[in-house]
Amino acid sequence: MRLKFLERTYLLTLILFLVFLNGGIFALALYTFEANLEAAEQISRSEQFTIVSAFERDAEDSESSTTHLLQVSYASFYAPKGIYLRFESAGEVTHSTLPPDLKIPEPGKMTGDRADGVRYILITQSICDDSLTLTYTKDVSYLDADFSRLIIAFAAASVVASSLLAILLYLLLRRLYSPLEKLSRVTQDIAGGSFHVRADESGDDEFAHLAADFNRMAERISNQMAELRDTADRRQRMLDDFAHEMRTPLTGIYGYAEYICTANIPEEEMLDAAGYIMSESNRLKRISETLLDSAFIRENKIEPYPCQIMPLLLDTRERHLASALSSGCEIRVMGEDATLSGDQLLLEMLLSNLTENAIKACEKKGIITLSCTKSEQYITLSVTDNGVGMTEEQLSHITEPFYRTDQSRSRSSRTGGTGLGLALCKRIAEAHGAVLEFSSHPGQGTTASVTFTTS
Amino acid sequence: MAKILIVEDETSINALISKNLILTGHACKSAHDGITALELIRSERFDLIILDVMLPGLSGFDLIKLTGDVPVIFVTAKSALEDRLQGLSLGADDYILKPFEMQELLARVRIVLRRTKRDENSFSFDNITVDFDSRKVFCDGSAVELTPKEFSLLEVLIINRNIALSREKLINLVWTYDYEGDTRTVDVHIQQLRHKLGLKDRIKTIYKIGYRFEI
Repeated sequence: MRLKFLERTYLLTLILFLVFLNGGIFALALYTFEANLEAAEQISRSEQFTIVSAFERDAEDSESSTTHLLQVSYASFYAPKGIYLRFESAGEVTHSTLPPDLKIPEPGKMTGDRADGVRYILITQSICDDSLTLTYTKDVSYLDADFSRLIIAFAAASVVASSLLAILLYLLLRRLYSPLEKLSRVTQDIAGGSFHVRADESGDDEFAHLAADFNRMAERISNQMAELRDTADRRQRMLDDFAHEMRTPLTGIYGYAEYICTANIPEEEMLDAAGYIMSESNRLKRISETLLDSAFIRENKIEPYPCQIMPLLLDTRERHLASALSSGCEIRVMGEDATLSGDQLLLEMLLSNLTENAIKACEKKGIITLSCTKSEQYITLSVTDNGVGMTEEQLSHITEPFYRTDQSRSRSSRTGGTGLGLALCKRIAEAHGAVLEFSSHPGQGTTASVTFTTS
Repeated sequence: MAKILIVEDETSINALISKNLILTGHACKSAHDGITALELIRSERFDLIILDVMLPGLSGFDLIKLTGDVPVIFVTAKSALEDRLQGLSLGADDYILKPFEMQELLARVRIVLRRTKRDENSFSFDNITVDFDSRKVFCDGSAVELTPKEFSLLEVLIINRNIALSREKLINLVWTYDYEGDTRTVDVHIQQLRHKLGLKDRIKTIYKIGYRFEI
């Protein structure tokens, strides 16, 4: 990114500064010139006064016939000094060394005028009892020359100062803007997809604060990206698992049907094959039913009725006693009775699923405990077993559809299920505003607890 | 006849593969988890292993590193491409995805066994000997003249023996996939085989399905 803002700031600052600097210099030059002009006028006044006094004295002493001579001698005496005199008597110029084309001012006045581009100071005064009018004229062209020299010197100084200023200003602004530039680079990196980069937060100015804020934002974004990726991964895994769950029974069903149709086999083997087809179809049916249940719970609000917990626990025990006994486990019911508002059928389903899982996790001599504990605000139902247990990693996935703790995804008769049980349990708990939690240690067993809020 | 180990944790699929392979004249052993499979591989000599990827105990990808020079065909529902590549890069001879048709598996088994020279190059029954290498058929020791298509048809029937093949399947396997002729061609060739080799009782017509070579 080009720093347009830096360029603009730089140009505007520079222009402003140059205008004021050069304006200031010019004003100073003008002021100096005015001051010099004034000084020259002061000098001219006193010179004129001296000349008038001397001339009046000399004219008193001399004969009137020699007045003209006197005029000539004064004029020629002062001409080399750049002072020109003009005498006028009764409207007639009697003697003059003035350059032509000068505008003669009224008596008693002083003006500046130019002839042939040269600057003069003119003073007119009536002298010798008003019989004569003397015009004093002084060449002050040196003032203009001085002014030109001054302007040139000032311009040179201004050029040097301006260039120095331009360079220094640029460097200074660059330095001030460097954090912004760095931040902009970091932004670009992040926009380009590298979410791990962070801005430099050192310092205590606005840029440091901005960088800190920016880093917080980047952190959040990258966290959210990771979360999204995680969700997408879970979805993908679920989809893969679903495909696998559907394909395996389908392969069996198709394969056995094909086998019956095409193979040269005796009747009992055909019956065998048909048996496989039936059990695989059953598995597909169970999966679709569980998925439908799950969808139903998600789509519909449950209608809560008061449910007695203890009978529910005893019922659950009753229902699973046979399968528990066949795998050598016993089921115990503990705790106190409580009433909570919920859907009886769904709660049964929830407890059944948790109990089934507990039985599957147990070896011989397993003990499964169904219990209910009550506090002021909460009612907790828990199913505890002393079976194989799970690792942290396994715990974090068990409520995902089709996740199996056994990586082989075994569906052998002893441990196989649809892989949807706990996902369904989670749905049921959520529908009741309850929280389903697991705690487990490998080799020691697992506790699943559902905590309902009663208030 | 080849000795084949089937490693697949899904009991029904394992049995299905095993049943079909036995029908077509192979000897099979089944293992339902990686550890049992490894023990079998170490104690017995197999011509081919049909291996699932996700197994309890030891995964198929781990197991294949321990199979030595025994050819392996992966059978799995994992469809992701990288898994396929991983399977082949680990030295699998083939890769077949669930759900699959049994004939497809049998065909691949046959191809791998032929390539690794673990299948017989001849097949004898009754008074007939079929030599797959020279593509010749002998009846009571004397050569019988068969057209190339007739021989291919006989070969396909023998490979899939005891399994009925539809006329369409036979066209696919014997002729080319884009064969334009109708399925009557199959009937004509079957009649020729039955006539030339006296196989009226061996090559059965299966109602609504096709033909089956029974032995």
